[in-house]
Amino acid sequence: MFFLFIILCAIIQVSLSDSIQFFWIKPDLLFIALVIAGITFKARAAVTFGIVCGILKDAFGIGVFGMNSVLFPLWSVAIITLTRRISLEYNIYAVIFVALFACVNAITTRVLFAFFGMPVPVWAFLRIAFFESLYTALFFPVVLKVAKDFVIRKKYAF
Amino acid sequence: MVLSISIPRIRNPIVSLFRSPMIIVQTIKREIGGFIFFHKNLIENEKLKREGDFLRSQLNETRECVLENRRLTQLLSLKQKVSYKAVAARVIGRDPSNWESAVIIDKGKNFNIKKGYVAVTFLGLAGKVVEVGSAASKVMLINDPNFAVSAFVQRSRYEGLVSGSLGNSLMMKYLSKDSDVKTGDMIVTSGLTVLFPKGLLIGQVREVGEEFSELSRYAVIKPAVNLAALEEVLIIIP
Repeated sequence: MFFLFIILCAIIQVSLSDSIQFFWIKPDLLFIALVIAGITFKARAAVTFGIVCGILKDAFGIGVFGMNSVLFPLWSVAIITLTRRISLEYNIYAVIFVALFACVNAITTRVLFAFFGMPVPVWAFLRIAFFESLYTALFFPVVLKVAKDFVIRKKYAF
Repeated sequence: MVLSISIPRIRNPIVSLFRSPMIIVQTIKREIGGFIFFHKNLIENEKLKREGDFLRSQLNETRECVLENRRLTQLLSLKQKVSYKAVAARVIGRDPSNWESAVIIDKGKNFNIKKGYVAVTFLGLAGKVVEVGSAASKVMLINDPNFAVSAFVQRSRYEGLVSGSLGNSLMMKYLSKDSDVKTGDMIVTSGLTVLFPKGLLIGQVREVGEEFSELSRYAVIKPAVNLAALEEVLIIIP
């Protein structure tokens, strides 16, 4: 069932995200799905979902294939490790957590782009790193609610 | 070598698999948008009708010029410009990442589209094809930082390189220090980049500045095509 949820997030992100973008920034729904998987499921399932999210994001993009396919499972492991120690009981904590993680993802992606010789202007990087993280984090509670109500039946950590 | 062969074999089937759902979602989005923005569309429709009438009259005048040009060209025995074939394609999706700017279109190899072909709209240059599947392709838009095309200022013919900057503007770099370029100038393709025909409108100069090194100038360009609202493109088949 969660696989279908990930596919739905991918379709919405690819087809409808231009309707909800601000200043050329759109929320990363696949990243949100990755975080939900990390905080909800056990390690093996969460990493599997992370790989699926990464492959879908790479498949629809034009960048280096495999970058997200490798990064997303690593973030899954990191999220699993951190959420066992941090309480995300309140939405505000979850929003801050997702914002920080999205920012780390943006910085890592920028470094990898530089490594692969694909330049990104500095001001574009700052805009994307900051606003994408914030926008993605603001979407997180909404997407989590949808996932909780329609997809994830069992109780979880918080 | 192995990766360059295997990566399209992984990506293309996934994109082809999602082609139909993406088309359905885009159709539903368009229909719902039609209801929600009914009044706005009504006003815009009236405005466009008036514009259409004006442009028709301009077109008639232009036809006269074209016919006269043909007659004079024949008289002077100059070579005729070669016209090119184009395939219309609908945009069915966009790159999910904020680090790239690309769209997914609903035509692929089955319409003789190949990697490197240019994508345009009636307003100007939109991008180039970077990946081709059997039923869908990906087009890198002109505001992607990895996009670059040789161009010149239409008025003064000074050359430069136009590339994207992940926003609503483009950068024209490597303009010489004494180049005659000012706000409002039109920028067109120079034809020096392979597969890009000469004379395709790229955009209009919004701002001119000097590089940090003070050895050359740059121009900030507003694209002629509204890349955020791209719904259809024409792929030029050479």
